[in-house]
Amino acid sequence: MASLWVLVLKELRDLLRDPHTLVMLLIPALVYSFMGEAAGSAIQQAVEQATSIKIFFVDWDGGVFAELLKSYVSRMAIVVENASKADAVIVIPASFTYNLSQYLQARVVARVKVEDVSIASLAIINTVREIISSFNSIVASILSGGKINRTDLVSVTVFATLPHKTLPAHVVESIYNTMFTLVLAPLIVAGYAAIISSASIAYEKEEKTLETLLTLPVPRTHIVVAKLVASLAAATLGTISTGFGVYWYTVKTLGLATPGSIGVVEVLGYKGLVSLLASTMTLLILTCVIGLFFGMLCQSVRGAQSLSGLVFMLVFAVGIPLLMSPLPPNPTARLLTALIPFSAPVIAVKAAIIEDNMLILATLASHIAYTLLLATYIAKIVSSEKLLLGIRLEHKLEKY
Amino acid sequence: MVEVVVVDKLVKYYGGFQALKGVSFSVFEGEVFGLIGPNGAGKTTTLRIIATLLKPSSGRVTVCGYDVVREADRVRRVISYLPEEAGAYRNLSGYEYLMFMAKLYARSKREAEDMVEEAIKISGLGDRVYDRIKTYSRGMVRRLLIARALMVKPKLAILDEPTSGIDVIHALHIRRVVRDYARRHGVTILLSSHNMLEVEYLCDRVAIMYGGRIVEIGSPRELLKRYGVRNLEEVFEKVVREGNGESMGSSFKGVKRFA
Repeated sequence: MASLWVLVLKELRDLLRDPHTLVMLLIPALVYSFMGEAAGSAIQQAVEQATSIKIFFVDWDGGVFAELLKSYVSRMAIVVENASKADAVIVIPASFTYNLSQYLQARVVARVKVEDVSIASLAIINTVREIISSFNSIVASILSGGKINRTDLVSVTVFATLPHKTLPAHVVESIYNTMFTLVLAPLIVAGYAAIISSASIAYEKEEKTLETLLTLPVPRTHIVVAKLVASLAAATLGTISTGFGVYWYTVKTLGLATPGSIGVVEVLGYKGLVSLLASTMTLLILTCVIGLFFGMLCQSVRGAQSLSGLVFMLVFAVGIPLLMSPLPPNPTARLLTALIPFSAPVIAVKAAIIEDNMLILATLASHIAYTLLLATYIAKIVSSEKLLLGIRLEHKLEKY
Repeated sequence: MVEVVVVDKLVKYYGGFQALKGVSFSVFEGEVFGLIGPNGAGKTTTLRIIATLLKPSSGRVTVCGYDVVREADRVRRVISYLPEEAGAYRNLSGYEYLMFMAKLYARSKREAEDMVEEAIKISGLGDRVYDRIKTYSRGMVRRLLIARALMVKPKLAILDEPTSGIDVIHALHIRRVVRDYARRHGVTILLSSHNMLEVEYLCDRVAIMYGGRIVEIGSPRELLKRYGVRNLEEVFEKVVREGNGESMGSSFKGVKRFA
């Protein structure tokens, strides 16, 4: 038993003195805290937006129940007099009061203005739906003196008005869920791509094959490009398999998206689909290049993998809050969002839904620019002796 | 005689540490030239500069007339380098590894196949060449790597401690292979070793390195005659003692004794 304890202590000391292990232990706490903050803030913003919702009524009925509805809504939301200032426009049809007084179903139409598909948009849609649905109990109570409690007398059909199109609310909800499904696979694989590519170069160091490789009669850039292409091919296969897994889990198991009613092409259009594929590839190339760089910094596969694990976390820390948050309404702020590293698939999907081609181009361009910058630096390292002797950062880490 | 390697006043710093302090020598076509000396003498640094892996701080090195800094790509086409602690891709078979390397040098598939055939003979691995490298012993891996370095018939083969860390039988096999191959194909070989017996057996000329300098150069026979001793180890001892009077205790770390 004593010898076991000695061994455990040795293993612990070895692990905890390895700076790479410390990176793995400390960084997730920081990154996930940041991600939680960002996601929490998006949800909070959505809740606040939904509770201070501004509603404009188009009343074609003018009857008692229409007035009652307006009065009821005004207690829960801000009723405005100008449609352009409203978050939602509720249209009360001419037959509203008559239908209800005859115990017939009355339907109102709500048009909710949304900038894009986000958790905030869904929150507003749901708030409008909930407000109208809760009006049912008032109607039932008036009609039957509280004896019956019907919930189907007043129904609401909600439409979401996006900048370039209007869609039924259930389609927007489906789009949101489909969007998660679509973006999750690239995000997951982007992290793995970095780990794969970093290991490919660190493996050469660990297995002592790097020196031989660097003296072969091939340009050194070919060596790096070959590693990049191979890692990218593996990552692409990974994206397909992860995409299938995510689809199976979210659609078949959780029943989140409803592909029966709405398909990927319907959500994004062919142009959007191409944007998603292009943005996924740019993200994978970027993370592969980052992985190669991390691989060059480290002398062992373990070190390279732990550093690349950071990419995995950063991709999620950026992607998930962006997916939940609405895009900024200001066009300049929107373009700045496209500059955030690892944001490409999320921004591309959101931009495709709202048909903002400039945003798609901006996110692709920024990711290509980051990749080229890093690739240029990598090419510089590869053509120097730094790859063999190690980069200062690694020396410092090891010294530490 | 044609000079394949010309090293002129080579200096190399690693940060503040000067590893090479003006090393100069030439290697002629078809000869087996050995760099000998204890660990830390600067042998590997010199070989790495010649192999285009490191850049000199000052001085000049040419291989077949090509400058190792400005024409590194051309140098890499005429050399084959075997590092001291080299490994091979564990998940490939020996055959796949050799074929991968051969394809990078050969101009046709036929030429690549001929190279691999030659390598299989050199390595003496027989049918084991078709097994995964991860199943090989250290000696087998070293034989595979030597075969890889020689099969491409380079103008200059640079072998850093070719028999390092392997047993006597395998070391003997490798020495025979290197000597026979150099004679048969006229390949110029530049090797480093701290094994004096190996150097005496293999090399036409040797340069003794100590403290980042070349302190003596000549054929083993010349050196033995010049210093009136029986083996290179004694030559080394005399050279260093006469040269700078430093303590031999630390300088002989890593020099194998065969007396």
